[in-house]
Amino acid sequence: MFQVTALCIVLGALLGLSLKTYKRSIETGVPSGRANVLKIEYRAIKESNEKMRREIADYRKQIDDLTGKLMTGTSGETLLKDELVKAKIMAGTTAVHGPGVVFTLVDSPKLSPAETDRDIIEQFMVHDKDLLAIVNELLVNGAEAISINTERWISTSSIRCVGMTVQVNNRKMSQPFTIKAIGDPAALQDAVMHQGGPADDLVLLEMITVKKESDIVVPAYTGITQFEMGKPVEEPGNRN
Amino acid sequence: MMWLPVVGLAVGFVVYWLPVALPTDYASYLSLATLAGLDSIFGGIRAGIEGKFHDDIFLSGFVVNTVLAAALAYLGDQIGVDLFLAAVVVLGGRVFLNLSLIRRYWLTQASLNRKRDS
Repeated sequence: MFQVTALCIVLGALLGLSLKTYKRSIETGVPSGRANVLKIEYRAIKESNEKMRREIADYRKQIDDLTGKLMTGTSGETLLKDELVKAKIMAGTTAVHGPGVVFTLVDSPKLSPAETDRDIIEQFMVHDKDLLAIVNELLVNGAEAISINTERWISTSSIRCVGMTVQVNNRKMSQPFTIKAIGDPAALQDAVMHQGGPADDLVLLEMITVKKESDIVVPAYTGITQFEMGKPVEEPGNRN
Repeated sequence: MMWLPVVGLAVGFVVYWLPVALPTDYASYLSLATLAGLDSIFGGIRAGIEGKFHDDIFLSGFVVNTVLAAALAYLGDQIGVDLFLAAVVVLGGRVFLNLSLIRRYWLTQASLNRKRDS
């Protein structure tokens, strides 16, 4: 009888655990069987995405080569080249390196794993508005190039919440988020971390760490740069 | 003494309210292990009724079945064969078989008692 009782304890524990785990798997929105199918689909999509990204990089290099060839031999060669480099940094189509700061944002380690209230759990997570506020503050304080994980911040960049993930430049990502910014390291750090600043709550919940660096690399923008609707306005001074 | 296993079940179920969390990927393996455990328990009850109960067989059966069921389902997932379903069919079938045998035994006992009383 003793063994049966002992095994019943184990069975009870198993029952409880499987009930709890299954309930959680339903709450997170992925039934157990579906997860595997999604994994395969995700992998395929990711692969084709990478392929297309490589193609974009290839084409961009071709453009660079062609414009390089075009410019050699002309009189204003160096001037044009300088202008091009400036324009590319501005547009974000080239990787930039220099002194700056690196912020790392994670979901709060202070959240108790037993917590089931969604509203409370959400208080402990990194949100799109946190990233947006930090990026904004960095731009105000003279950041010259910013990236979030692999995504370069450009003039048409966006940050928004998509389900459990954050979407930057149409690329979905989840925590940990690494924000790199090139500029005066001390000024940029103070801009974000000062009391009353955008990172107040994050500091309190141990969700943000910051590091000043003497040389960091901010990656180039890899998305599309097609402009279908807008056309440049002819300015009087530009006419030759 | 019949109530001891039931109390054990309740004690074990306390895990549900404890702050333990397993990855949701394991949900299907866990439920299969639970099914195997149920199968062993009913098998044990049936063996007890038939007078063939051996605690060593019961104990080893419980442990091995539980682990094996989960391991088999995992293997199935890895090689792309749905062994999960096979285990569910076999274990589920056995649970029903054992339950029906136990029910039959109780019914026979009851009718025997009635005959003896009259």
